[in-house]
Amino acid sequence: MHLKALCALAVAAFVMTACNKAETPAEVARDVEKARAEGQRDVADARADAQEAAADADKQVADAIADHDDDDVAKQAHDANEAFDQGKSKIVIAQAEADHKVAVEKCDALAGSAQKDCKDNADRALDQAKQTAKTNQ
Amino acid sequence: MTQLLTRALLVAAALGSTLMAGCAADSERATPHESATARHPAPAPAGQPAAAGQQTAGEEVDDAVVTAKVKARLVDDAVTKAYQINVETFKGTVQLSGSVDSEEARLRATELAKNVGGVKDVKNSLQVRKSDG
Repeated sequence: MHLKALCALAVAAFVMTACNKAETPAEVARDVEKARAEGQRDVADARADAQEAAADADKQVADAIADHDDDDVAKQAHDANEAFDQGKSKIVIAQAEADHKVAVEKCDALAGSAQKDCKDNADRALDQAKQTAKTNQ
Repeated sequence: MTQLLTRALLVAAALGSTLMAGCAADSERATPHESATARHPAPAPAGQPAAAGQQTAGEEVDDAVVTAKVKARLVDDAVTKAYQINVETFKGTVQLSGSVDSEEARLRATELAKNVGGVKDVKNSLQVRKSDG
């Protein structure tokens, strides 16, 4: 029984060590660059989506103005503001996720608990950025 | 001698008339061009902004949309909804006027207007009313 437990502990320790092994600087640099490119693409996509949504919403407002329907103008203007805020929030979150990807890849230059702490910090920063984006919306 | 004088006069007359014709041609070439430019100024190429102080139809629509959105923001906000705030927009610059009864409301109105899509600048002419008590 003791032997089995010891084996399990040894395997777990081995796996943990293997998981938090530091990557070579070249590997880290390559992964960071890849994460940066992906992140930039995601942010650009979020920005394009936000602009499209805002333009669509503005068109609804313009149509309501052209129809001289004051109630509809107020409603469409309200909706357009919401669409604008949501778009802004999505861009902020996309930027935070992009930063997170890069930060996590950079953590791979570290080993063991330092790497784990580094990734935990990156996760916390992402959660905080998302929370702030929701609060500001 | 008389023949020589006559030849000289003829040559002078020919030179003079040639010079006169050249000047006339020059002035004819210049005048229509200048006057046409003055009478019919070339229209601005497509895509160029209208002259200062003028708005294109597209800008007018955009400004009306911005005004509607700023008004909606002011009505949706707990601090500013109580006031009758006038909103005007010209080329993306929003002008707020009217009166509120606190500096907080005045500043809040600017902040709200700045966070509307399409707003380039906010000019706040809101007056803070002095309370009676």
